[in-house]
Amino acid sequence: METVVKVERLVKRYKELIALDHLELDIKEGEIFGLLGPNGSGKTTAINCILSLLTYDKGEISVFGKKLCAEVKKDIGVVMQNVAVLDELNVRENIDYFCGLYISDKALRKQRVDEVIAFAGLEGFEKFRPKKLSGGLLRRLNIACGIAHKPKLIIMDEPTVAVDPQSRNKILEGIEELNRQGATIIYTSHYMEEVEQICSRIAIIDKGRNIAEGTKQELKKLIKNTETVSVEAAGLTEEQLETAKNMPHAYDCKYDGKTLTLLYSGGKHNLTRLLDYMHKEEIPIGRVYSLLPTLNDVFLEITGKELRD
Amino acid sequence: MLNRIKYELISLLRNKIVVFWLMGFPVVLGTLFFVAFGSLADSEQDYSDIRVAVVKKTEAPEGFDEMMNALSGKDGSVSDGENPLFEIVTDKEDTARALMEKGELEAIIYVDGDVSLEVPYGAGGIKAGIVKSVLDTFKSRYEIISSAAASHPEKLPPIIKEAERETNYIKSESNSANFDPYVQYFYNLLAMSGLMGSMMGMYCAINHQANLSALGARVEISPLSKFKDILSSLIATLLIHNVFLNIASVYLVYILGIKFGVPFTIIIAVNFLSSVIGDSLGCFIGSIGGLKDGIKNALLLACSLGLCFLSGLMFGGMRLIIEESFPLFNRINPAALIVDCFYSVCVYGNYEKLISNIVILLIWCALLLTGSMIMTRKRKYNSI
Ligand SMILES: Nc1ncnc2c1ncn2[C@@H]1O[C@H](COP(=O)(O)OP(=O)(O)O)[C@@H](O)[C@H]1O
Ligand SMILES: [Mg+2]
Repeated sequence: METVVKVERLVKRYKELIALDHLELDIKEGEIFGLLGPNGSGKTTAINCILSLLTYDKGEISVFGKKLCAEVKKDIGVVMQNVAVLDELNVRENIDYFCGLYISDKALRKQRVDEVIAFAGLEGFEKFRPKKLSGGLLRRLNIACGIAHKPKLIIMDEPTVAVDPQSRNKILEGIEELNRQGATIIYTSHYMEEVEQICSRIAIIDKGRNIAEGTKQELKKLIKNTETVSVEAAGLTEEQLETAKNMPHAYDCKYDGKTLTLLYSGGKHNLTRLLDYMHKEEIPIGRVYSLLPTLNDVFLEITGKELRD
Repeated sequence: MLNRIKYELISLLRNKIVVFWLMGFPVVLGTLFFVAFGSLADSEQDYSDIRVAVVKKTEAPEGFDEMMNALSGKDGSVSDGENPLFEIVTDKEDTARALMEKGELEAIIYVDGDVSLEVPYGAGGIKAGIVKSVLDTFKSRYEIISSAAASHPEKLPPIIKEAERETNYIKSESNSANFDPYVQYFYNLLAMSGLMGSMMGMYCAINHQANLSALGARVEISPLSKFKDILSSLIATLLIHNVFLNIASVYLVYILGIKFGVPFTIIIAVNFLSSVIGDSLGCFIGSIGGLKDGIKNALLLACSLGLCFLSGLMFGGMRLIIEESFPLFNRINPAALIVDCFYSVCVYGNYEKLISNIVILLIWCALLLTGSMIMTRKRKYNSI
């Protein structure tokens, strides 16, 4: 598959602070590529470097195999982290304004604007000014402005920040739909659930460095943890805890006096085995969970800290 | 590009702040001025018999006496029923100063090798301005005449004729000009509206610069060239600005009936200039990186109001005070230059002065726009 964006050994400093530290990205055509990292990890900086808004200290960036130029920019749609729309223009005018930066043919533009208004679910709000829109609708307008010209590459920088769950789902579905229509998508977020939900490949970054990359299955294989089992059980004895800790495949055990949490690496029927034991010991149990590893666990295991602060 | 201009226009027109400051404000302030000065302006002003003193410490330059005689009617050139421009009250310095202190003298003309002028501190302006203009004309002509006399004596007669004609012209213009002394406040008002437009100019810069706003960044990642981008925005701004200024002018001239003493075409032309200078100023200050928008706005407001204050918006005598103490400033203060454009046509009928003012204003625009260009040229930023 063809490479759409290639970033090699990218280094960007803001004075003393190293925002990007030899970042590598290789985004292929047709992907929804997730750039996952906590706040301040350098996602926006990376995007701005790719878009040639920022200078960088070292490294190479190419988009569609070329350095960024007007020709290349035509095929890129960008949804910036900060909403950038004109306050004095209404929804339709804003979309037409931004679409006009890419498409000068009036009839074609009108068609595109109509399409994107339907796509973003902004029908009925066409005459609204941005100030009158709710947070979710405003984000959707921001997205519509960025994608109206049907670009081949869409870059979205945290498009769901401060959005209600309903709008968020609509946005995520929309992104998948755009991808089905053929667009390559770069999606940055610090919400691992979103990235897990829609991205076909993910790079996790922290402090400007790649810490892991691959599909979500590949990423989860990187780590020891395969299952986390939690059981509500009050007043376990030292002895019982010791036995639980030594269950096959369990490598870590936490107990706060109420809930027992065991981390497993591989093995089958881990939950059943634990419950059988507790049953035998006649320990009264409350709620029981078995969780598969999330990207948060991947992040936690590699960096030693939570993804979300 | 047309699409952009269209939307720039729409957003400017819908921006209440812009509309208020550019159209509402001059109209409101103009009405206030009109009400405040209305009664005063009704009394007919007479610009003949300007009381001056001529204090000679040395022999006067050639032609000076003849000119003064002509202008004070001593040579009998002034026909009955018409008043001479000057009344020469005294030739003694002490008497002159005493009279001036009492406010009974408009100007003292000193002849001391050169010809110089003293006017009362804070003089209302028009009369003193007339005296000064006469002397300026004399001096400039005198230089031409004396150098011509030395090198090309054959060219002397036509030059002298021309000078005479001009002196007469000043005289007649000054005599007949239906000049309302308070009109200078309205000149200033238009100058201020021009400079106030700097706020729009500022957004031209801010909204098109990635390091200045999210909107700027959004536009910079599009394939549109930066030049076209800023140009379309400037065109829209200038267009709106001129429309607003001219609407305000129409209101002042045709509805309030204020006599600007200049043809309306001149008002339109000067409005155009002041819109260009205002927008360039805004563009320049807007382009400065690292300042908050609010600070830029305050800076612009201070700049435009400050310059207008110094050119006499709040207190009419200001321009003359500056003229006396630091004349260079009046030559470079855009507000004063704009006011002077009106003055030079209305009071002195002096189109040469108008043109020199225009040239200085254009130099200002060029400097400011070049400065903005240098600051905004860069397309990549270290930090945004
Ligand atoms: N203009 C700037 N000047 C200095 N430091 C900056 C600037 N922009 C971002 N940073 C720093 O660079 C790091 C990466 O920021 P950013 O790329 O915005 O992260 P993210 O988008 O992942 O939240 C952060 O530590 C941030 O504080
Ligand atoms: Mg960010």
